[in-house]
Amino acid sequence: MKKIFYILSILLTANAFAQNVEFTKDNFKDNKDGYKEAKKNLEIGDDLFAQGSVFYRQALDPYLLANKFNPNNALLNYKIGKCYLYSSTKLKSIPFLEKAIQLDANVDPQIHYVMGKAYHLDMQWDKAILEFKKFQSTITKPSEFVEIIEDVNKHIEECNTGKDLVKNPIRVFIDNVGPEINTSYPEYGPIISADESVMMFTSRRAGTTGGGMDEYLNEPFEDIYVSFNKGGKWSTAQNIGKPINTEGHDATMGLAPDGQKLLIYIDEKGNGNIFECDLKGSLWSKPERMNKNVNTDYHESSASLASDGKRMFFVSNRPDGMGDRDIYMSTMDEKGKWGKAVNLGPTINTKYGEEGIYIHPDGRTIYFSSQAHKTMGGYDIFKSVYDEATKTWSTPENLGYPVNTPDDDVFFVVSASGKHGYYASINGNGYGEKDIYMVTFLGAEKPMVMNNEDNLLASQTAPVKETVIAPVMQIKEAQLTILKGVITDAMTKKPLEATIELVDNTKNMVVATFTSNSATGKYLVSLPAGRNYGIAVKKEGYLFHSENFDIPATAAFQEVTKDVELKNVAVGSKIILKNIFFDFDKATLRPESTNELERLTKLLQDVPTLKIEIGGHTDSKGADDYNKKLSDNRAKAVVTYLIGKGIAADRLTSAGYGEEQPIATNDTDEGRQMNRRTEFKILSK
Amino acid sequence: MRNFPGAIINFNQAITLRPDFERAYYNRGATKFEMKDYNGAIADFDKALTIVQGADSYFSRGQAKYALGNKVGAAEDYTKTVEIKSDYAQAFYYRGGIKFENKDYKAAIEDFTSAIKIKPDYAYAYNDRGSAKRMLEDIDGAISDYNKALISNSELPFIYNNIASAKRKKGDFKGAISDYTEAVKLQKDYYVAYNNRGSAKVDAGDYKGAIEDFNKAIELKKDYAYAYNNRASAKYKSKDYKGAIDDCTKAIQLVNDYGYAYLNRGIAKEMMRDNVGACEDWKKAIELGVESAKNYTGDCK
Repeated sequence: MKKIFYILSILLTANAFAQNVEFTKDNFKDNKDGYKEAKKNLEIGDDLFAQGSVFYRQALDPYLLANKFNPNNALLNYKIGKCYLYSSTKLKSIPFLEKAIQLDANVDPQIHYVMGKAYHLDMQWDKAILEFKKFQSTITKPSEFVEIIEDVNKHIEECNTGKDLVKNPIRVFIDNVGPEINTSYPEYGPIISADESVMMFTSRRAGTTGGGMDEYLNEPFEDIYVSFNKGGKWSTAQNIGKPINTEGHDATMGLAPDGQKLLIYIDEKGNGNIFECDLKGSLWSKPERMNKNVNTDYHESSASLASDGKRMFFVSNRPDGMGDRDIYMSTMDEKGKWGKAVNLGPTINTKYGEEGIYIHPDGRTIYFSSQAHKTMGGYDIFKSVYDEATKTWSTPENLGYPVNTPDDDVFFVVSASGKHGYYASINGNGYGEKDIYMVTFLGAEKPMVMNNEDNLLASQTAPVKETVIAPVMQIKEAQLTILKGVITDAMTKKPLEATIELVDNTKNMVVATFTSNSATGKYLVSLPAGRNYGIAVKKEGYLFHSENFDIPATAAFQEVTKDVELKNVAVGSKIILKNIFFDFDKATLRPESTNELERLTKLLQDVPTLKIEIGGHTDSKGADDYNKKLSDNRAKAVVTYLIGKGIAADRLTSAGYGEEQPIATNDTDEGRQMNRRTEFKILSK
Repeated sequence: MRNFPGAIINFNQAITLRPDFERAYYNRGATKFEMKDYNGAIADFDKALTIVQGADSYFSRGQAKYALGNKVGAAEDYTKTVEIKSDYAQAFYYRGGIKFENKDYKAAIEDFTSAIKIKPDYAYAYNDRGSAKRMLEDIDGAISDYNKALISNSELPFIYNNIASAKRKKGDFKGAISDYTEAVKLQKDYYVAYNNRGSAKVDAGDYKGAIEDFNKAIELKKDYAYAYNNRASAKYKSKDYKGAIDDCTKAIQLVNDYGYAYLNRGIAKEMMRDNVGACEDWKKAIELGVESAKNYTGDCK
């Protein structure tokens, strides 16, 4: 036993008092060749190191070789530690920096600052704070180091935030999306369609378009890849190909919720710009640089399209911001031109960097990364919600640990349901380098219920069961309806490229217009809760199809599939006008009907030979005569409206069918609602 | 050693010799009560009451009626008792107990208070009044009464248990654990207190200690479904989701309609990524009346 203590004490002493060994000939007299080789590697490393942080990763290899020869040089250990801090394996810096301090705590004026940063990244909060404070104590003239003092204070504050966030982690599952998407090369920048059926991402994998290599990173140029989710499984990712991918860097930025428009990043001689591409059938259009309201001579690095297709949020480091990178919004005008960029203001933007903007399909929640607000280090991901009534953004809320870490957490997208988020991260369990992960938000912990009993009445031996009121845990969901489906020709069943007009019936306003894909007929529309929507599917040569969705503000997330078959303008064709509304039990048209009536007017104007019958229908409640009269009056009200709009009366007839022609059961509320309707029928064309 | 059959023979003889011997009827009734022949006891108390309207006969008949589940009749007899003898503390006390069982806690408190006024060291009455106050969410009042009960008699384990449960309700988990510990010191096989202490430990974040307590409760009462269900909660908190599922399953095996065990098992299954199983359990919990499960089935197909 004594022997063990002796050996241990020798080892510990040797470690504690290891001496700094300089790279001098005298120190390595017995291994001149080794010294020569190590010195050469040291010089190669120093040359790269001197060129700045971009070259730190390349400096690592020669430095590590030199360190193998002489592991006890404080400066080399410090430099290796610093290089690792700029690599994808940042935590490897810790033992080198610790050794540098042990060998010579004054090896570099910034050693404690760098050590603090390494501990910070490793979530060793108290050690990090201690190192930052040690560094602060070395600053003798604070007035000359205002910026660095501010930076150190920021780090200390971040460590304290980190402590709190780690103590109260959010409940999530974080899963690697799998080998169909991830490889041993870096994958990052995932973007998804609202229904998570399409994912695009950026990768620096082998086989990049043109086969070129980034000389700084010694890695292939970035290309964009796409994968499709079928039955919960991602397909093997494919290079999205030309014209989107070029021989240079091509990276994802944003995907419209319906997957029909893609925003990409193209580096134009160091000036990153936003380009847009449209999916035409199965082919992507050539990327087009967005206008000068969006792109500047500065760097535009991230962008996201709102579900209405009329607002775009993006990140730029243009000089009129609040500092570093800021988030801006541009709105499309009536001519389809993107308007002047508006800074989102001080609630969102800070003097530090903001990055990775994503607008959720609900149209009012943004996710973005910031180096400020309450970050636990580097960029953290935050969420803010726009209040339409006050025209303000809510105070950004840190998404919490483990989604956020002390390192940079950027480019986070969230599914329409709000249940899944996607982002890239370097994780020991991945396939190598950065991989794409899916975060499943579990929400607040569902409390388990325990049961207890007491001998409440002394005279009774049987215990009395405690009354338990199980706590009610509300599961937060995005208040949004996703409407999707396929639009086809009713006769041929072939997919159609049709226009989908989304109307806010309360405001009588077209809020968005979409187009279904010409090759698949697929469409997807986001309907934020709290409105009554009229949806009109239109295509030239076809009768329009209308749907109505009344979504209360409290409605939970739902995904509705509605396939639409458009009918040709043919004699006998019938269309239900689902957005025509009457006052209760009356034949007075409500103002919300205006858009639908205008569509019908336009159809009659476009096809001037068309003669139609407007038919009114009721459910079976009430007396037959009464229903017939009510439906007749309602049909007449529509005809009167059309005549008022200049449609010749001889082209219009009205009929009140009462309850005679039900299209659904009258035994349920839903069925009765379907039966209460206004139709039009083509009589001749 | 009590010889009830022998006593009955003697009372029979006494009644044969003197058919209006009220005390003989009363005592024979009391003996039959002890022998759990409650109907026989009631018949004798009835007879005694036809001879003398005695408070003790009404009280004892009330006890027998209660034993037969006739709480209304028992309460009426206790009322008759205190009408005849207004300082009959036990009659007030037992009537208070019936009111408690009928969830008329305010009226129960009045009766327990009357009993205490007559008998200021009435530990049981203090305990039960404390429990009635607890049911009315007057936790401080309950603790005060339980403490008074302990002053009268500090050897009753259930009082420590009750005071502990009141403290737990107030969020004083440390105090609760300490009092449950006193309860199990006084009564080594007090499985109820072990189960309760386990729950208090879960509340306090001592999941390992909680599991040990639930183990002990189960050791003392092998079919104690509550302890299995509660141990599941401690295991869940310790991230032992499989263990939690197993314990809930055991609780369900013991009590087939144990809604909360289904709810809990669903919660543990969710963490094991068994969404289908979780949904099945939550749906079953809803069937069994667990309303809170309705919030969890939004994603269930």
